Amino acid sequence: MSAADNDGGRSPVELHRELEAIWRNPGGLGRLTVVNHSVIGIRFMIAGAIFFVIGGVLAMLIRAQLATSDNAFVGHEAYNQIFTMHGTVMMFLFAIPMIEGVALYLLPKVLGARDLAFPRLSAFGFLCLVFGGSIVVGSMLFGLAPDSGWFMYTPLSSREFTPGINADIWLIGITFVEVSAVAIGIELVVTILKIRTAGMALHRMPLFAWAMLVTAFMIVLGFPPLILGAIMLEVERAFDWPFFIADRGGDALLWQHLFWLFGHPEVYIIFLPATGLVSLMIPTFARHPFVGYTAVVVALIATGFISFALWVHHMYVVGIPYLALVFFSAASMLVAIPTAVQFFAWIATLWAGRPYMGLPMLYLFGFLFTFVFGGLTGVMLALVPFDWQVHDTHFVVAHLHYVLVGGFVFPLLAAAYYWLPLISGRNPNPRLGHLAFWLIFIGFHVTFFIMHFTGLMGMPRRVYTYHPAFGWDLFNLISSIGGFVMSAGFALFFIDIILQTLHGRRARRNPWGAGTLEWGMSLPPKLYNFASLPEVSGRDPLWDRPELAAEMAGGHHYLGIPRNNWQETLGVDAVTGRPDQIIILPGPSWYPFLGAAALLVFFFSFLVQLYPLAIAGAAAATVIFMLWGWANGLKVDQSALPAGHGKHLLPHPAVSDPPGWWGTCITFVADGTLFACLLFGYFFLWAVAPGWPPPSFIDPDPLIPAIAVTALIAGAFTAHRAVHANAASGPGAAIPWQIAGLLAGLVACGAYIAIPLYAIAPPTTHAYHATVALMAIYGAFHAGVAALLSLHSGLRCAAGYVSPQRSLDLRVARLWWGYTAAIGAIIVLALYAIPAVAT
Amino acid sequence: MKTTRRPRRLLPLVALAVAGCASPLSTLEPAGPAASEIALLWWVMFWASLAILLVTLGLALIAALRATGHGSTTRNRLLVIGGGVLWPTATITGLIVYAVYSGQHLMAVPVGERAFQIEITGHQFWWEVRYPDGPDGATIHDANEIHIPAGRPVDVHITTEDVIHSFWVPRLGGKLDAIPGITNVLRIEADAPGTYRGLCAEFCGAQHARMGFVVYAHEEEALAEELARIAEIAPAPEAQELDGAALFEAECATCHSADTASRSPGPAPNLARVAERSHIAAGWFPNDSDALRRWVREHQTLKPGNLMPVMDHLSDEEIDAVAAYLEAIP
Amino acid sequence: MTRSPAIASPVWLAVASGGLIIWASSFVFLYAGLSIGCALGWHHVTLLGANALTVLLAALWLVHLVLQGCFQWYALGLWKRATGPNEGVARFIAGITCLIAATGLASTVFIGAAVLVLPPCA
Repeated sequence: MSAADNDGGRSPVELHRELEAIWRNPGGLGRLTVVNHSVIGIRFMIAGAIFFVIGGVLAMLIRAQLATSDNAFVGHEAYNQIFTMHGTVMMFLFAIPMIEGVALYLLPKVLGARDLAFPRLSAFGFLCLVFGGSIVVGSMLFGLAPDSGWFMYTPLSSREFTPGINADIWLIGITFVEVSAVAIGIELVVTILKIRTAGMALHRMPLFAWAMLVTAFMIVLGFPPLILGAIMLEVERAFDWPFFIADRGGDALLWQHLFWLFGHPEVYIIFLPATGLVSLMIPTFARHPFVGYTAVVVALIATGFISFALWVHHMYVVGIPYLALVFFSAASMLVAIPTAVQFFAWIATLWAGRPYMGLPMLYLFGFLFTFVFGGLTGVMLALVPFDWQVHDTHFVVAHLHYVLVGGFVFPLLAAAYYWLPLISGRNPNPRLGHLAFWLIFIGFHVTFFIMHFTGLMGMPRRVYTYHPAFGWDLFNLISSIGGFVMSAGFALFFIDIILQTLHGRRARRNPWGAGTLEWGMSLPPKLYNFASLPEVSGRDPLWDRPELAAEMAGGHHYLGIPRNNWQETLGVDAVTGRPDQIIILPGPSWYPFLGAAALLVFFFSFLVQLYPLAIAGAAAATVIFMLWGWANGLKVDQSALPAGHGKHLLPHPAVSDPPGWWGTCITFVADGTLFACLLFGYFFLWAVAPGWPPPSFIDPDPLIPAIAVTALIAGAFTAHRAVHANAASGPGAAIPWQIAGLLAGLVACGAYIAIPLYAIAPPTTHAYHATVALMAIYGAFHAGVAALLSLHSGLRCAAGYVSPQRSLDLRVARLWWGYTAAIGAIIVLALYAIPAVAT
Repeated sequence: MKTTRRPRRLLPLVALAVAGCASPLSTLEPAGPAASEIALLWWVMFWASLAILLVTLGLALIAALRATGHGSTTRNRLLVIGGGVLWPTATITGLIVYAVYSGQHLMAVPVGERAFQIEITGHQFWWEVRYPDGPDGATIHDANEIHIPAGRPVDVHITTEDVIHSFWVPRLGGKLDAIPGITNVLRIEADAPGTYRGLCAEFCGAQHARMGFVVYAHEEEALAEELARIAEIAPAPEAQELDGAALFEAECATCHSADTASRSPGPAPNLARVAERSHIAAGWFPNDSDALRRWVREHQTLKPGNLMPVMDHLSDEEIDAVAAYLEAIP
Repeated sequence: MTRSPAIASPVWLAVASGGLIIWASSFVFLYAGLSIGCALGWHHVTLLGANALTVLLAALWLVHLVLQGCFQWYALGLWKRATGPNEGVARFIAGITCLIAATGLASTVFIGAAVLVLPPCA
């Protein structure tokens, strides 16, 4: 670690000045172009906090209305909008964005990186959240807010029973927000796997990173079912394709399956990151390394898996065979075990150390107490017979608030006080924080403890009023009083945070004496996080080597070498943490804003049924995304560059597995899940739905499927040949193959579109025809994108972005083509072979 | 089926709460074998949970307040295995075996001729009731009130003609959803004759809150008599003479039926027995002498968002005539 | 596939989850088999002295238990082979592979056992 590693012998001050110039963000209108993870992370958190306040005000309206029986405070119309929006805002616009914001802000810092894998993608995700969230929340101003519940059960949410625009606002706004969530999910997976500092092997990653890795995979796998469900329901509402209408072969339960296939993992998507935050904080306050690290990693992975086998416990009373309910009941009980493992690992860590009570620790106790409570009622609800009684009563309302407030909000409040010095560079002042804690804690338990009994005494959920003879008045009044106490606590918390951010005492570096890398930064952190990236050899690098912070600031480690005006960070081997590339990050860009704005035009026009404008928006988005892709990469081949510590590494455009490659692979996981759900819908309706068989099946004429399959195989072949041609003879040789691929893609796309037009009765006839048409459209979309990718990569070959060394474009196109051909084969089999066998 | 087991009201805190606010819808005051079974399950879990809560939180508090740097010893790591894996595994295994066994004999398994059959169709925002095995094998049509035998299993065949509803009589057993295109069967039973309240438990739109019903459990003979009486209820010739008869025909009969032998032609409750029901508007407003008239006049204020058209064009005299006609039917 | 986690490859993340992947497969097969079987009325057919659907589900369950057993054995082998230049992380991955395999096996037992005692379509 000599100064010689620091190329050019800069002094630390010069190094910082150079890095600052490279990482500087534009001001004014240019703020829309900022992509830096700290800025985007904070924007996400602020947006989440604003939505939390909106959701909280809605909750107060609910408690005001329910305070007494036969209350005339708000009518049923307003109430149904209010409770729908409370759930929607809290789940989709507060919890998920808040978690994403915390992860975007914190992950690179705990992983010892300078930014995320795809900074522009996170900026894009933020704008999708703001636009989609504004559509949903803005509808309240016009009295048009969704009013069918945050779960949007069909047929109540279908056109027949909700003829207004309310349900469309939910479906379109939330789908827009989910685009954001999936984008961030992909971003996080790739970041955690690839963008860490040197030596951070999997077994040295902070548990928060493990929790986020599991969570990000869950987002990638869990959101597609709802995206698909929302598309199907919106298409049903807009074009009368009867996916969920029982009279025409649809099934209302298909919606419930798709919704809860998302909805239950969602609970753990919210909870696991919070446990990750707790696992970062507990060792600091115990002054001892984490006890039971491996057990907790296994617990996180097990929770992630099992949480996908719980969804039917939201459907115990829909009439599913008892044995099937017992499968889900058993899985729901099982998930208690990994949760208990985490809980006891925290206790063991405290026991191993010499704990001290900081303010965050008080909130962590609020978390432990409240969450154990919620976990226990969760086990009760997992039992089928008990659920038959309390399902859809206030018992469930109490339980879910214990889990979500206990398991998410309390850790988040602890985290806010813990990391406030990092974000603002100022120390918290414990007095207001204590008062806020006790108001929130007492208010919470007064509100929700008694609500268990309100539910046991028979009060259902989602009622805007109740009969005085039912004897629920006193309990509800107590809950309402508690609710207002809790709100006062939250108000105090926000005031405290704002006051401290503006006027708190300056914090010194690492005020809590923590061991993780984020506390090795100056406070508040610079936009580039670390002047140089360290080599770590343990889980608590700052405890292992107290001098590390100064060395990093002095530029003694990796990448303390500003050059070419590049924003650089290390890429590592996913398992061992050995550096294997230098990642050159993109600077500020207009593409995220333009892309999100084009999608806004698309979604909003669809919402108000201006379909030509919607098509224009989609076309604009396509062009913008292609231009965005155009701006990547380098035009000249690269040789290895000095990275520090005597190592030489290639920049990412010149290696075989840059982040873009990983991102593409993870995207297919999400896409494949969506396709699997589509197939599930097709077979589910066929096997279970009332009103089958349909009046007619697909025309068995083999011409259309033959054309589609031939074109898909040809396309996949051209994409494959293009990669080889480039490797053997350079990019020029790949261009003819890509032109052929473009043509093959267009032919396949046309063949798919011919299926709903010529091979089946109109999709409005029966759910069978609707699902067939939807599968054909899914295929057509992929064939169309394959054609565009052939075109795009061919053009990039011509423009000099591709060479035998820089072959990512061609390999991405090949991967897409391979996927498209594979799903094409499955679609053709499902559409043509199954009816032939079944009829 | 098991004999009735009453919950033990031992816990002072809860006893206080429950005693202070008894509810006709309380699952903690079961009146049938299914509800008793589940109430017992609740109390078992309640006490077990309380114990678990105290132990875990006690451990956490001791660890945070009394720990003095024990280091990560083997014993400490065993805490993670023992507390995190073994203890919950034993607990949930015992619990699920108990619950699976308990749930299995609450299912609507065939019990031969013994089970009384009832058909329920959910509507926004009221319940259609049919007795498929009425006297002479004819179906009896009714709404919002259900007559069942006491001490005998009842199979409730539940479906819907619009959105999803959920049929629930908390004191008699669990709930089951009414799903379009599907008929689900729920097994309930009342131990003794009495009146039990029920309601809709799945959000179904504007007036989900006011979609109740009343269950009357009778001794067998009394039930037979009551059903035979109900089966006969239809406008008598003298009622047909009233001024209201023609008005009913013109204004109401497109949707409502006025005799228990025929189903309502529209999505509206059968009105043959409306005058003798304890409540109107789906188990909501007590059916006093003025209730029916007030309902026709201002039902969109009493139960806003219900699907009945506004009857503004009827004069008070006309409303009175229609009400008199309906009152004369049973 | 590389034979020991001492050789770095992201495939190891999937291998490490193997026990739970097999469990997920058992869950999907049991639930899907039950739903399809009830829809097609297989529980009315008698096979080997029991109803055909229960026999089918029990067979599916057993197949997965055998798979779990084999994988457990493989995972223990990984643990023994986890040496070499990246021993630390190799041990860690072999360790979580074993633990997750045990979790998967226990979960498969826990969830599938009901097949043997409950009638399928009631």
